[in-house]
Amino acid sequence: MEFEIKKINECERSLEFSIPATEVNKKIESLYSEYQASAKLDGFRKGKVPMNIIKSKYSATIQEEAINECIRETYRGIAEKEKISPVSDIRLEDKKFDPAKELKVKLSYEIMPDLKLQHYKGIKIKKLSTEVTEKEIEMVMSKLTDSKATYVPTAMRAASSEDMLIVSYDILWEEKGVYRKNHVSNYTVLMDAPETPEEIRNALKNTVPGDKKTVKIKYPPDHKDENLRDKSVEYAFVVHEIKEKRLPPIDDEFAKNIGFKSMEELKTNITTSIARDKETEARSRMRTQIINSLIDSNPFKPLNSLVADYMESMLKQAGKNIDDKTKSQLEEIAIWRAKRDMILQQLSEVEHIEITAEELKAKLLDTEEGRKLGYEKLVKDLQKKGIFSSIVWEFTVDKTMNFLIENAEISPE
Amino acid sequence: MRDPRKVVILPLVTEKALKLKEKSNVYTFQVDKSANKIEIKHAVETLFKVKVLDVNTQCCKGKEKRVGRYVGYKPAWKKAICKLKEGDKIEIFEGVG
Repeated sequence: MEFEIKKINECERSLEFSIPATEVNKKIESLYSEYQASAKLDGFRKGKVPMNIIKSKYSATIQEEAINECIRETYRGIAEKEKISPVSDIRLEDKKFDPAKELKVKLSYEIMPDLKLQHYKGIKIKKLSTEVTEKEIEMVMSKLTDSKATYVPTAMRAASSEDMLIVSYDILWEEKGVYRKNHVSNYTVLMDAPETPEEIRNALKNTVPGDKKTVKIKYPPDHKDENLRDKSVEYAFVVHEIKEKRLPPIDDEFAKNIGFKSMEELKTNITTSIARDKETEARSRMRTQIINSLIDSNPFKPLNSLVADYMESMLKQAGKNIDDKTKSQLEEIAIWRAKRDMILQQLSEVEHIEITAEELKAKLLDTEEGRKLGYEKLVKDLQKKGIFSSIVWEFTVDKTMNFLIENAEISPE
Repeated sequence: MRDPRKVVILPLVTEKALKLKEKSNVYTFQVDKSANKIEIKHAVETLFKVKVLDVNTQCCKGKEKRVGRYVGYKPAWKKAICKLKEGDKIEIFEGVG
């Protein structure tokens, strides 16, 4: 059997071969016998349908099946002999069958190119500061106290921008040329809540119980509540009560109320949490800088199949209605991700970076599911879902990135 | 004489029909329920340009069919078994069996 492997570019290869017609015809005949043995047709017992009827009914299907089977078998043989390890699906570009002569086939596939990566050690990157400032701690503390705020009724005074108002209101809107009205009583308006529309906040500010205010709001076409989109709505408020916001004192008692022993422990916890977030952010930025630097210093064409896979999954997430600009942006991201994957895979091979069994066990047991199911059950579960290898790949990527960061020249940003 | 295409409805291709064809040059058809042997002979001779020596007919009862608790019957039909002159063949049966 003759075959020829042609190099189209760094990644793409085409494989052409021919199979003698006798081999294909033999396969066709054996398939006819298989079909005859199992064919069920009205007027005949199973396995008793005459061969001529089988041939006239199934010849096209059987020929197609025989040709595909021959192609698969021949490709397997060549791939084993030539040690072809494609990274994409094998595409059938062309096939021509002459029953008197031969079957000519042309396949194409992609292989991982040798990127010959350079300059991956000593990459100059900048690291964000992970130092936690007093101001950041104070911001978290203020959010915490805000969430534990209480509201108490006040004496007669005008509403301020931090109060809670108890109101009733009539709501009036137009729908298909008809005006509709609705009444809501004892409704709570938080003056400092971001979800309270600014028009309502401005109108209700400086009101006192018994005051009446009317507000007209024209909602934008992209408003998050689809019932209000692009509608003009009129609200007629009556203020019943004003409640003042009281923040709890920041002391040990407050810390105990939210599950800490003392104020000091709460502050330490907040500091650690902010530091951890900042470290994650800093590492993520360093990873991006490293990948960008590697892409710049090692120009290469990414695998089409990989880019297509990323594009497909992103388009699925983005939905149907996306414009050309967004599409081209997504394509850039897909190319970047494909290049990143190829670089990391090649690097892990060059530097022999692999996840050991102990590391894998430790990492899996560190996850929430690992703690719940245990190592062996989790592995079986992941294998059943078909995502085990991709999780191992993610861990390998992490390890490779850590290797690159350890070997980089880091300066503060 | 009736239109031959209204007399012969379809050729019957079954194990038994093919066996008869091979053994005795006899061809089997589903024919119109009201057709008589003379009409069948004329129809087969006209349609397939052959000489029919003998015609046997058989009225087949429709099979019982049940849809839930309701019992009904498939329509009854007529089978015609035609013996042809030696050497005569009907093209649509050729290549079968």
